[in-house]
Amino acid sequence: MRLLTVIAIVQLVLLGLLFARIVDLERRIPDSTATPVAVDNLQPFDMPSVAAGTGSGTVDEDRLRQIVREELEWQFARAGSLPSAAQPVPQELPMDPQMALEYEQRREAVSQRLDYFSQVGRINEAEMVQLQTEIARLRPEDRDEMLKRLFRHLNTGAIDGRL
Amino acid sequence: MKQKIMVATAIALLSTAAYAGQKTPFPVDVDLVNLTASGDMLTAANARNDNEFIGCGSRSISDGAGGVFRFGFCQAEDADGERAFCNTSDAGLLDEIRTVSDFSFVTFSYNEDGECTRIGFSTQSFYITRVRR
Repeated sequence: MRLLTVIAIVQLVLLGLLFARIVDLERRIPDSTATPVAVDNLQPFDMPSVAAGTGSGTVDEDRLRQIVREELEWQFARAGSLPSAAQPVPQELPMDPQMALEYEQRREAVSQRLDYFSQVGRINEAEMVQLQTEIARLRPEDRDEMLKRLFRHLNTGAIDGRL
Repeated sequence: MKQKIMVATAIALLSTAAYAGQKTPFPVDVDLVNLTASGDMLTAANARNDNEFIGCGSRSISDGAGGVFRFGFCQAEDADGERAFCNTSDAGLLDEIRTVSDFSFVTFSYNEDGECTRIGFSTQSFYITRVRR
């Protein structure tokens, strides 16, 4: 009987400790999510200080954007193509040689079609639609150039056609 | 006989009233010196020649990479066969192109590169020169 009483008391003490631990953990959880972690001296993610850094914290959206921006700048710098203030940021990331070649062929094909229509002297409706579709697949600066050529030809009468 | 003449006169007067109102048809005119074109669409459509037309439009074309290439254009040809074409990607001019209506007077200017520099529309009763029944 006495042994049972001791066991019951020990169980009660253990239950009390367990309850206290749960309360303590519950108190800690909201604290960790509500407090943004200061991220200073940003460095690329593959550097040890960041890799070992602030895994348990949260970062607000603006800060996250800044981190991504700085990471991209660092990648540009490492590739030796960091855009400076005097050099405008390119619209698109550099293409690999194969893609660049394919793009140049596509651009050249549009250019040659424009030459062809100006030599023939006319463009029908279906050809105009096809030409515009091909122009749409070019980079903005190349679109501008091709549209200028097309409209110059239309205005000078070198190409007889309508949009 | 006299009665028939009076009825015919009355009908003639009534039909005249149906066509009343100020009329200012504006045939298409392309000015190749100042690089402008103007004209109302109804007069162009009813012109007694095969050349005359004027209008503006827009195109939205997939760029094949998840985007859309948009541009607007205006074009015109007058009775003498003089032609004007221009295009634009300017958001303000594209907005203006959306305001065109069936019986609009259309006017536009462009530069040597064929870029639209001015686009305007005016939709007024005096451009509607023929009532279709």
